[in-house]
Amino acid sequence: MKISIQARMLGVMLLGLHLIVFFAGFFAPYETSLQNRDLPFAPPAHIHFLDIQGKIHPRPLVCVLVERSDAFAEYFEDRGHCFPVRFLVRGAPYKLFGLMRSNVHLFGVDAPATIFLMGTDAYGRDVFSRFLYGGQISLFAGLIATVLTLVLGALLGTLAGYYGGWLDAGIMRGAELFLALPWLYFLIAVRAFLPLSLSPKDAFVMLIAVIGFVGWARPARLIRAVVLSSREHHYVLAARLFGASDMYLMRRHILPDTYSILLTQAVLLIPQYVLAEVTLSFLGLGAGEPTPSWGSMLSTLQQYSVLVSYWWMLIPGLVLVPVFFGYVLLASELQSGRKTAAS
Amino acid sequence: MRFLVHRLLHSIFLLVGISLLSFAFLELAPGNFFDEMRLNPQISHDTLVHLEKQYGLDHSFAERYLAWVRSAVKGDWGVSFAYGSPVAPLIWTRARNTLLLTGLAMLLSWMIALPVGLLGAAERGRWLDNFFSLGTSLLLVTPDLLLALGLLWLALRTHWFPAGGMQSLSSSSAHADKLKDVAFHLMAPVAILVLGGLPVLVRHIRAAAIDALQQPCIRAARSHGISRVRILFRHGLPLAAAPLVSLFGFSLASLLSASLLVEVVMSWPGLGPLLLEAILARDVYLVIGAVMLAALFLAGGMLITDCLLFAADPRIRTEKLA
Amino acid sequence: MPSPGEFVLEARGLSKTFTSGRWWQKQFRHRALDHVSLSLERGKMLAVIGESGSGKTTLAMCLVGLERPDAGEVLLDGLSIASLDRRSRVSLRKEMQLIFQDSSAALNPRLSAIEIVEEPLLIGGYGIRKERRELAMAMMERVGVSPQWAQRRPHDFSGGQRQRLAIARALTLRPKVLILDEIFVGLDLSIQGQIANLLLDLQSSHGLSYICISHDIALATQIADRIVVMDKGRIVEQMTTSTLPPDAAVSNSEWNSELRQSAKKAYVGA
Repeated sequence: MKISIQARMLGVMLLGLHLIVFFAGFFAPYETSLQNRDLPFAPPAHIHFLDIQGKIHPRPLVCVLVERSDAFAEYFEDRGHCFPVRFLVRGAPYKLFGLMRSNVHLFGVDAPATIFLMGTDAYGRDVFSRFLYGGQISLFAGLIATVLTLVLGALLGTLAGYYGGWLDAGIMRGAELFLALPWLYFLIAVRAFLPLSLSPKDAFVMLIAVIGFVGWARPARLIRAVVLSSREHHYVLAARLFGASDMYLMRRHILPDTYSILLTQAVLLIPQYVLAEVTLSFLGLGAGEPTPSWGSMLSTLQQYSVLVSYWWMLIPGLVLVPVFFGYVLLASELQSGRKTAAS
Repeated sequence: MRFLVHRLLHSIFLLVGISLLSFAFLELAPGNFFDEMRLNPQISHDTLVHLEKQYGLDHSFAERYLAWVRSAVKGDWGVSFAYGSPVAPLIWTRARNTLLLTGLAMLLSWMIALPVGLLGAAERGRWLDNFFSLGTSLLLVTPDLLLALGLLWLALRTHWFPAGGMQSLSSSSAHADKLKDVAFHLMAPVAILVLGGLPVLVRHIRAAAIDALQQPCIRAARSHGISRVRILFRHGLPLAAAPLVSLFGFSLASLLSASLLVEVVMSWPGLGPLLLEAILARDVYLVIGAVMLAALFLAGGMLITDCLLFAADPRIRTEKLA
Repeated sequence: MPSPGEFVLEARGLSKTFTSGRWWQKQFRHRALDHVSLSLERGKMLAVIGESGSGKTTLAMCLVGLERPDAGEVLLDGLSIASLDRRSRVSLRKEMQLIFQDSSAALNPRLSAIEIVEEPLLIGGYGIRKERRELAMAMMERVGVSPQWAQRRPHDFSGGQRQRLAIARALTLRPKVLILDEIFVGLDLSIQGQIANLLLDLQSSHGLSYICISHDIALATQIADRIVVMDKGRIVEQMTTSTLPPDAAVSNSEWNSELRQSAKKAYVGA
């Protein structure tokens, strides 16, 4: 399978983003549930490279935020009270995706200064940290749900294409049914009918299961088409004459033909599924509070006052654009790569 | 004729399947509508039992399903627990609002997408095509949610158009004024739907047109010196008809279900918010009704597509259907 | 065990009809095989001649078990294959191998030559990897493909070499019968000759019997012991070539024109 340079570069960039999100504990300066009740809706931190005398300071500086006494959520900086940003600091402990313990963070600042790279929300929680941890939920739910869908689709598509007959007819009818469902409606219905408040881990698993389960039909049809033609290859027929079992044929000769389709489908599905998770969380059907997710972070924007005044709350939504762009480009690269290989 | 029968049976199978699936899911879900009430100590256990009996919740799954099917076919789609009134008229008023929104959006989308797609195909590779491609790519990667929030922000900041709802409270009862008011409120949600749906439409139309234009008969027409515009519309369009009809069918089929998110964000009183609310409240018959109506549209859209394709492309009549 | 009979392979009354079309469409029926019976003597080559569409390939498929005939039976060494239980059937089938017409389609383009040739051994769970590889290498050499090409992919080989690989692969299971389905199509005349010589050579060294399906009458008369002519799913003519004069392959020979006459009769009349 030929993958062009551009495709590889895009893949690497997307991988980089996913890695950063994966190691959210390291990159995020604060815990997601840490509230600063006296700093709600603080704007993104101003990083200064010049100190109060106008000289260049070796380390970037952050100054303490003080709330204006007359207005709600309006702040000014106390330029006399500045602290340097330190790197590889020891801060709140975290578990690297549930396995290793650590308390080293990439950067941080001593109290009472705060470094809110993306500002804070209504409860004064650091949006940047919540953004990273929320990315874990949104991005990885999309990723794992894609794997689920492709496994289901490949399994059913292969069974249908290889065995034909009643199995094929039954699976294809089922696929048409699932394709005909108004998917968002169905997704919401399925999700909403599960218990509404679950532990974050359960909620995560359930989100993945729901999203992944609904979309198996399209990949299954594509895989089935490939298997139908692959099954008739003469080298497959020859292997049957050598006494090969069905499992052997599928494993050694037929499935490798499906890999390129699976890859393209994966790249197409991942952004759709990430969006599905964001939508569900936005509507209040995702992992509940206090677990952050990009969708639930966006749902506060439904309040007009928030939407108009605090632009940094939009960031989880805005970041979707370059991420999806990356995936779309990757998909078109892969598809044109396949076309040139076939010609 | 046999083809039509086959397709009709197919649609019926689809509808039965969806209704069963929906009912099954509701059945599997823990709890029912009266759970909230159960928590209230002032409502006695007996009252709850009586209520459940009244709404038929004490019957078995099969009994409830069959009872629903029997009455649904006659036009009675059950009663909403939350609203205390029949489901069908409730759904229908909301559905009308949704259809107004999505119908208008679909019309506008096609009106814009057809020329853009065709021109892009005709000018393939040149600056106009690249310009359109860039635009549609940008729209493609922007989620509807973001578009909705963005337009909402614009509305709130500039007051160029209303930020939500279908009608202003202060509108006069004069017919013309009411219409103008609704039209005004339509602007933002329709814009979101159009912008969201354009990229996919334009891409498919452009691809279909490119395929059609590469056919040998088109090249022959070019060599005869027929003008490009004439070729595009008189010769190219009919060839591209088959995939475009499919596309049109999909647009039709998703008329009811495409706008849920937009309706929620812009507070448009359509089927979407009703469904969401009903699901959260476990209002069983309302949920089933809404899903079935959407499914009906889907099945109907697909049926119409198949028939149109059949009329348009004679090859389908003799070929094996996949 | 049945006593070793004269015929290593026998087909009796094979029939196969294909139908196409769904219930709302007009159904097309195509009778591919119509009560076909033939027999193959041990150590001999039987040629099946016919135009495309006469049912030759369907016959091959039915003999080997890739298609199930609607009627009739296939006997290997006097044993009816259909009468056996599943396991015996599978092991019996391995004694009959098929070489396909298109060698590039018959070899998996992703595998190397040695992987292709050893595949039957791998499937059968024969020995360990080293033993399989050695056997496969030996087989490659036997058919005239140099072992140093073992790691190459099929597209690196010529058509003739690919057919040799296919033959090597089939031989690893030590079959009794090889069915050759139009294997000479697309090969140069000289290559055809080389492959034919290889087959005749293997016949004596491996104790093989062949059924050679072809539309090339001249070639068939040169290498086969008996010829059978098929048309529209039926056998219309049978004859032996052993009674032919040594120069029977020459195109102007009396015998050749006689054969052409009978073949013509089949296509026109009957």
